[in-house]
Parts: sequence; C-alpha cells; structure tokens
Amino acid sequence: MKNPLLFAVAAICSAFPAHAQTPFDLTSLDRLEARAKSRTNITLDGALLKLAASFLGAGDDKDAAQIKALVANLTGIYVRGFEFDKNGQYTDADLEAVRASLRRAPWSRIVDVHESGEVSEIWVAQTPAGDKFTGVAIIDAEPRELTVVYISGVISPDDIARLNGRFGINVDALDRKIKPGNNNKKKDEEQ
Amino acid sequence: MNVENELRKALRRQSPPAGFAERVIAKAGGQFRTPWWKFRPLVLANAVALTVVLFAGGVIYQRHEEQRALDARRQLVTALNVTRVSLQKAQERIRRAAAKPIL
Repeated sequence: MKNPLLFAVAAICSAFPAHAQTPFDLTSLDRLEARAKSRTNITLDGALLKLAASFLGAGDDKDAAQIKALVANLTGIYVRGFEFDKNGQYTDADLEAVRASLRRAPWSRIVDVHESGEVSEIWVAQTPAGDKFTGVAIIDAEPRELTVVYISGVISPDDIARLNGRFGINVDALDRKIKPGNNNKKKDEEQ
Repeated sequence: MNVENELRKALRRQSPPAGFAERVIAKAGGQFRTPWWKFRPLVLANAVALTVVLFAGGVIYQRHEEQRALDARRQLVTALNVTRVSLQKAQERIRRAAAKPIL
C-alpha cells in the first residue's frame, strides 16, 4: 500500500472493529478490568462469527443446527463480563455510557428488574415492522459480578427463548461436541 | 631508415577483413555458452524448493485458520453460555419479584 493516507485509514479501521459495529461504546467498561478478579471479553463479528458457527458441529447435530440457524442472521456478539473480589468495585456510573446509548431510538427496555441489589435489564432494537429485533442488549449486574451482552443482527423473540434454553438448546452439551475428523478434538475438549 | 620504414609499415593501422568481428563473436559465443543440461539440476532444485515452500506455507496457513476457527468457536459457545445465564437470571429475578407480596 503506497498511499500512506490509505494505510493510516485502513490501520485505524482495523484497530477498532468492535467500535464500528456496536451502537454503544463497550470500551467504556474496559476500565473495570483493573479492578476485576476475572473478566470475559468476547468480540465476535463478521466473518469470525460465521467461521465459529461453521465449526460448531456436524450437519446432523440438532443443537448445532439450531445454533447455526440462529447465528446465520447475526452480525456480531459482544460480551463483557467482570467478577470482583468484593462489593462496590463498580457503580451505576460505570454503566452510564452504555445505558445512555440504549436510551436512544430504536432501543427500548423490555425487562428492568431491581431485586436485592441485583439488576437485570434487557433492551431490544426493533425492526420498523416490529416483528423482529435488530439487536439485543443484556445488562446483568450483581454486587460482585457485572455482565453486558450485545447481540447484533436480526433475531426473533423465539430465538431469544431458544438462547434461554427453554427449547432445548444445550450449549454446554454443544461445547462438548466436536466436529468429526477434527485433529484438535482432545486439546479443544481439555480447554 | 630502412628498418624504421619497415617497422612503420608493419605497425600501420589496417582494417580487418569483412565479417571478422561477427566471426569472432560467433566463435566466442559458441565456446562460452553453457549447455542447457548443465542448468537442469539448478532448475529442478528451485522447483522443488518452491514446491516445498508453497506446501509448507499452505499447511501452516491451514493450521492457523483451523486454530483461529476453534478459538472463535470456543468464544461463541462461551458467549452463548453467558447470554443464556444472563437471560435465566433475568427470568428468575422476574419470577421472584412477581412472587413478592404487594403491601
């Protein structure tokens, strides 16, 4: 690439793939990493998501087929999870940047439960017809645990129910199923 | 003087016969040209080296892509697990909140 301007633009774009995809700035949560005992940081978007789905399992595997069908319409899955040693390691202010973005259209909150210091919020962005969601965001907050999930792409309420496990997708079992002929079976299972 | 004249005559500039340069070049070229079969081992070695490099590159790339896919798959399963747990917690909290008596 001889043009330095083009190179710089490409470098900047590749450095912030998650930013470009998410409607809100998940990096605002990054500062919690220093205080967290453990963290989960997952950014799966575009081709990587499709690649992951293609390695879920064999074609005749029912669970894998359901997950593949669900993932086929998604454009990204983003997870930020933190576990803390003690209470008070994060405050509502840490979530404010995420909530502020979710308060804007087309997002609406369909679940908001505050119970014994625990919070569950589920936000959805709907299609104009209102029959499907174009995004789902979940905030799950406990005194020592905070999880923010953002799923981007077309997803139906049934898909959310499936993700909830009510219709029998057992992702734990799915994790144990490895594609036949895969040389890394044992290594992957051990991990 | 006679010797001097003879010497001058012998050393005077003289044009070569017609076609002399072409004949010299043709002869020299024929003498120094390497026969084609002498190059063959080198060509073969290069071809083998190139094949090995391409094959090894292909294998390394395939393994890298496979590992990348397995990592992505692991992340996807983890993400789905986290989502499921968060949804189940929300469901449980709704259930508990609904079960609380209204004062």
